[in-house]
Amino acid sequence: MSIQKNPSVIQKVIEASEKGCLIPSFHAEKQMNARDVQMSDIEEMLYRASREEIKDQIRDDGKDWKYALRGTNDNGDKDIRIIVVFNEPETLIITVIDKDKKEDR
Amino acid sequence: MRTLETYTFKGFGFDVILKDVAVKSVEGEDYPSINMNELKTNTAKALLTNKQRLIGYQLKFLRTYLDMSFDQVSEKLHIPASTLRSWENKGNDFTGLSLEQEKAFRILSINQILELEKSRFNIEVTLIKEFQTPSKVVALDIGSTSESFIVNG
Repeated sequence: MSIQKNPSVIQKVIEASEKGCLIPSFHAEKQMNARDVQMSDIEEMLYRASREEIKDQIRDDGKDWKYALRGTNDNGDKDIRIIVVFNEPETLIITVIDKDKKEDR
Repeated sequence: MRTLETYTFKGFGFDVILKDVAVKSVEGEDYPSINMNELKTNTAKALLTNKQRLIGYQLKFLRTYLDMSFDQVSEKLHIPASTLRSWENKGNDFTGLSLEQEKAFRILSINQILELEKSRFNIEVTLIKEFQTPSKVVALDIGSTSESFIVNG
């Protein structure tokens, strides 16, 4: 049986962010630190983000998907991809990549 | 659910030490059980009263937390927007703000926070439908607002 994707991922992530419920996992926080990406960069990119459905993956528990979003921060100097998992009431960021960084291309 | 006695959050670019943080897990990924809005508010307040000069990451954190553009801050402090941008990019190094400019920025930030809190309180009071009159007056619980964070430079 195929798992349906949530049709309004970006809106849901923005809502979580505005409620303070968009949280990076410990692993994602390390990636942010290594790539010089701050929470404000991620929050800014959400408002001009697009979905990267090709990077979505089914969750290990098979109940939903891990969703990929990509966009630039306000300065335009960071091209960020995040992968999120919905775990109500939180939305968890599990991966952060800066596509402008050579190692993340 | 396990609890970390201390946990250093680095997601703003500088260290914020949190105490007694519960850890949740999903999909094999551990994460802190925190509310980002509360963390930002507490961090901003701690930074503004911290006697240490602001570093680039902290300037960026405060400007974005208060939802101010480079142009808005630039106009208030009489500093070119391009200069502010370059100071934010100093990251872990101190900004080029003079003492007077930094004081002015902190006061501007405090006023912005007060405005935000004022509108938040106004909404909360406006939304109250009824005040309670219990037979016994209940103690006010403010435990959740205790100081549970430390900001490092």
